[in-house]
Amino acid sequence: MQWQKRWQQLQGTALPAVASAKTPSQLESLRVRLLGRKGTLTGLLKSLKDLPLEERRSLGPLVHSLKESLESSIQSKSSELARSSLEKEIEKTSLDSTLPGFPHPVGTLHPLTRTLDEMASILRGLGFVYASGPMLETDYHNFQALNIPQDHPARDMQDTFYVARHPEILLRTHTSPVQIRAMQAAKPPLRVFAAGRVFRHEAVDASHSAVFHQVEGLYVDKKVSMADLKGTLKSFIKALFGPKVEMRFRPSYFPFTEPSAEVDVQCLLCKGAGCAVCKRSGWLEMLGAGLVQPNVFRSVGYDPKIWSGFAFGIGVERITMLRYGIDDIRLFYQNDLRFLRQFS
Amino acid sequence: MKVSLNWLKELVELPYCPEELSQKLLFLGFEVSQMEKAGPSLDKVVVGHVLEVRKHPNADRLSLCRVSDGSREYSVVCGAPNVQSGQKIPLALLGAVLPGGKVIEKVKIRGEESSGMICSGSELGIEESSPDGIYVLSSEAPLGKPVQEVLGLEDTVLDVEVTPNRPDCLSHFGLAREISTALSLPLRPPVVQEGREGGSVLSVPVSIENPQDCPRYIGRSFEGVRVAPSPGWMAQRLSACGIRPINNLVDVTNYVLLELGHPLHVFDRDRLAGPAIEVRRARKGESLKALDGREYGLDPDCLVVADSGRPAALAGVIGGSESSVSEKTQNVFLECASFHPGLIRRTAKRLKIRTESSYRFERGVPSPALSWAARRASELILKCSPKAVAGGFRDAYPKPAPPKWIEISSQRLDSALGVSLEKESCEKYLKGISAGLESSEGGWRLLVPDHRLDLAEEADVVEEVARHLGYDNIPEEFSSVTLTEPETSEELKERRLLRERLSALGFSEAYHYDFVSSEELSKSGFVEEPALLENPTSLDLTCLRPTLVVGLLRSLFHNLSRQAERIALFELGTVYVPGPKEIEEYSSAAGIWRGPWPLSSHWQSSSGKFDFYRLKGAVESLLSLYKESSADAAQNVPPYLHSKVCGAVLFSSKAAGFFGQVHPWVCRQWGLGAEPVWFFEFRTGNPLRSQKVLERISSYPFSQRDLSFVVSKEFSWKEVEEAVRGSGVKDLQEVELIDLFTGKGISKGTQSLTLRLTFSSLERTLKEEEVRACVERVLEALKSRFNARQRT
Repeated sequence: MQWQKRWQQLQGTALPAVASAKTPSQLESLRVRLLGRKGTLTGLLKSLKDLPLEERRSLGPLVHSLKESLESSIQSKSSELARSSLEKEIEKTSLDSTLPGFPHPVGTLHPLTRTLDEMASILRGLGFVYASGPMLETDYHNFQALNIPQDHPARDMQDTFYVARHPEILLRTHTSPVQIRAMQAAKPPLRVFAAGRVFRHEAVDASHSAVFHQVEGLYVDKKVSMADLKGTLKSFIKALFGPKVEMRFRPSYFPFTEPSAEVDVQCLLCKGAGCAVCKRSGWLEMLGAGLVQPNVFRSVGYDPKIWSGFAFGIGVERITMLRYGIDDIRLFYQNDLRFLRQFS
Repeated sequence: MKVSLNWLKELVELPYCPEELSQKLLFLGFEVSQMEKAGPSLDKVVVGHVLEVRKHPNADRLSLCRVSDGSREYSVVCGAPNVQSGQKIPLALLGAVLPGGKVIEKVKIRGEESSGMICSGSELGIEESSPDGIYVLSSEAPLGKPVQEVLGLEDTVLDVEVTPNRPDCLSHFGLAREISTALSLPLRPPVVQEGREGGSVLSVPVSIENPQDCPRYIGRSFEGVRVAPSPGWMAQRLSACGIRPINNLVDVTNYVLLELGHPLHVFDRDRLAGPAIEVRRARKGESLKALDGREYGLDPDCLVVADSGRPAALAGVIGGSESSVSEKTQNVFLECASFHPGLIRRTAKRLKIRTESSYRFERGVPSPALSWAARRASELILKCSPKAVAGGFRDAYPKPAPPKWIEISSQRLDSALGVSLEKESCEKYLKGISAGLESSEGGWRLLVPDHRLDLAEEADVVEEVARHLGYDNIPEEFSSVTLTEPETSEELKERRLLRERLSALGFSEAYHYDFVSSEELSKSGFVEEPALLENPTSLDLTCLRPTLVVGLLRSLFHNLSRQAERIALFELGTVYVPGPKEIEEYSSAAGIWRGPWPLSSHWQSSSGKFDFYRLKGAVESLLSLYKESSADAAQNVPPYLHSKVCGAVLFSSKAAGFFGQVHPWVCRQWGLGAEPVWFFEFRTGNPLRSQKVLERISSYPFSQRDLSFVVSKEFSWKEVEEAVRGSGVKDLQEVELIDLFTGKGISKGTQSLTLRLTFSSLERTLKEEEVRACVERVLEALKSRFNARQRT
């Protein structure tokens, strides 16, 4: 056949043929027929050289441009066909997404850890730095340095576990010895908090535990006042229980603070109306606090004429019980998984 | 301390109902823990009307009265001079029991029948004495109504918690004084009437061995006492405050204790050798049979009140039974003394005796106020025994304490409270504390009142001012603070990371007491002697835990017996190990797992099993938090682990813990069944992995080759891995064990291992020949070291 004739035929049919290909194999055989080594367009290109120069000049670019558009339309057709066949596959798939997922075992953190962490992060936000001390303490750190000398009746407030064959040591009855250790280790001003276990020689029942946890803060600087203590505790309590919480201070006695205060928070359950939890008073005892007693400063070598400070302590179990409505302190140490798993 | 509101009202004017008072006390620092209704039991004592009074035919001083209670008439014999017809009176009907214990029965008095009694105020328990005779009621009192209602005799007893720094408030008068000061209410101190003194009364000499032990001792003799039940009013008040009435002498001492706060003691003077009193330390070998019926062995750490021969009382704690007042007592010796608080506390604690007396002495009793208490007690003794006479006071007070002054700076006061107080209001508060107030430069000097043993320095006065000002009146301030370095606690960080990772691995956090029982320790195979508590509260809490395994086994058992299927718990806690001298305290992390992994049953696949290598994987993912840590073969396996199925945790190549299967015998002892239990524990506090400089990441593709070979079982994986890594192939990046096979085609004593080796270079893509050469070198190393044979 004549070159021109073949060209005209191809020009009209090639692109529509690509467009009407139905399957990837159809498209492939079409590609071979047109652009393969023995393909029609390849043949035309090869025999271009047999044409007269003038025609070669005018027809050459046309052929090349057809080749390019063929190639690109084959490629886009190919991806279109692949996509539509995938879509068909996808359509055929069926799955019940409501069937149970595969359970990865995930553990939970103890509720006391949660409360401890939260208190710690509030105190850090208030500029307090973590300090720690041992569980086995000396009588000096636990009592004497805290203005509780031997034979002081205030020792009755904290019944103590002692260790056999080691009369010099005891299990700390509060986190306050950490105050002493922190002050012995650093010069004022300082702003520290302690968090951890304490031990009291008490019979265990629903509301008493021989082991429990405290969080305690200490701030020493020049001219620290009761007003500062009230302000700091207000923001601590607000962060812990929400901005609307009401708080009251009333006089109390701790040997290591003076003036000492007991801090009550309006009952979280009845909002002050009076219920069984707050023993109808509308208030819950939350914290013990006060200005650091001068004898405590003397025992760590701080001059009470220059330095003043405040300290406060809070029971972690009690707060956790109130927050989650836990009515038996022993649940914390029983580790029943049905209890623990609720705190995920 | 139990406080009768009626009694308190006698001593201070109180315009409050019990609830209001309890609220006021709370804001002064005294918590009222309980409030209960009380009052004299005046059942069957009603308002009666005297219809007629006639003279008793057989007795001059008695009258015969016809009395009506509105429904019936009674004939009653009455001895009171003031009874008159037309009076409304308290009539005790037959069967009534009066506060002193007297039961009203039908009696004949001098031949005349009496069916009831017309009562005096003291018989009703409402007055200390009734010199006029019967208690006359208002003419409007409704007939037949219970007298208790008509007179409003109901009392309220408050249980007031007095903090250890305020012994001056451990009495009705003390509390009244505090209320009067703080709330500006008139105080009405009891007025003491001096009684009969007889010149011939035998005086008992008193000597004090050491004035530090006993700063003051007042003694007084009484002769011709009559031991009898106390008058109703006294018995009534003692009972209301929780003290059982005994007899009119002992009761007087208790009454004065409750009224003024000073403990007192009465001896039967005729049973004191001498009679003489010596306050001294006990001698070795001495003993005392006390009022509680027990015999106490004494030593020189105990202070005693002795007669001329032996101890007659444990000073300030408890009296001796031999010198105690009995029904036959005629002559008594009253003791009113003060003792060294620490000494009394030590004695009481050591002998495990706690009395109202020791409770007050160990908190402090002011010496100067003793004479008042002694006079008050004398008055009451004489009142209870109308025929008795008293000797003179013997007052040994070798070194009266000098007056104590406290300097107060108004500036420091303001800065401690965060307020600026007006001078006048400040002085008002200070004057309330002490009348002895003087202005000084920049502040005041305050004379400490005798009863305020707690006031020693300025801070004590600051507290007083704060209390009287009211804590509510101190503002809330958010002070500007001196910032300190931010926290960098590795301890907290480590614990946070461990907790996060352990819970992600499926373990739930447990908390246990630091105490375990010795039975639990032995059930857990623990043989070493643990640290023991000196004073455990129960048999379950005798030892300090040397490992966390015991608590975790206990909780495992607890959950197992509550049908839990998969139990995975961890704890971060302290363990205690007795060292040669001291008990060492370590922080430890431990976990326990029993049951399927990762699931029990799921519709997609059947239940999986936890095993040694899953445990090891969990431990390794914890160890990856640390520097220089590894899990390795174990030596010296602890007794609670399976000696073969276990491994060791190493930090810097030193063993710091173990992991493995809990010893089957331990599981059996604990009743945990046959299924294996998995456990790990290691000491924490090791250096954490810190952020390193980033390692370069290759931008060229890596090549992987699998290599299978047979090797003798006598070589451990660790040796094989080390040999591969040590084969000197620079571009070898990773060595993974992807298959381990024994059995068909593999001769006995050997195993087939398949390694997946990953090679890559930072500089270029490795060529096939290079990779092949690398594999060859690895294989060579295996062949030469283990005589391994490649499988193809």
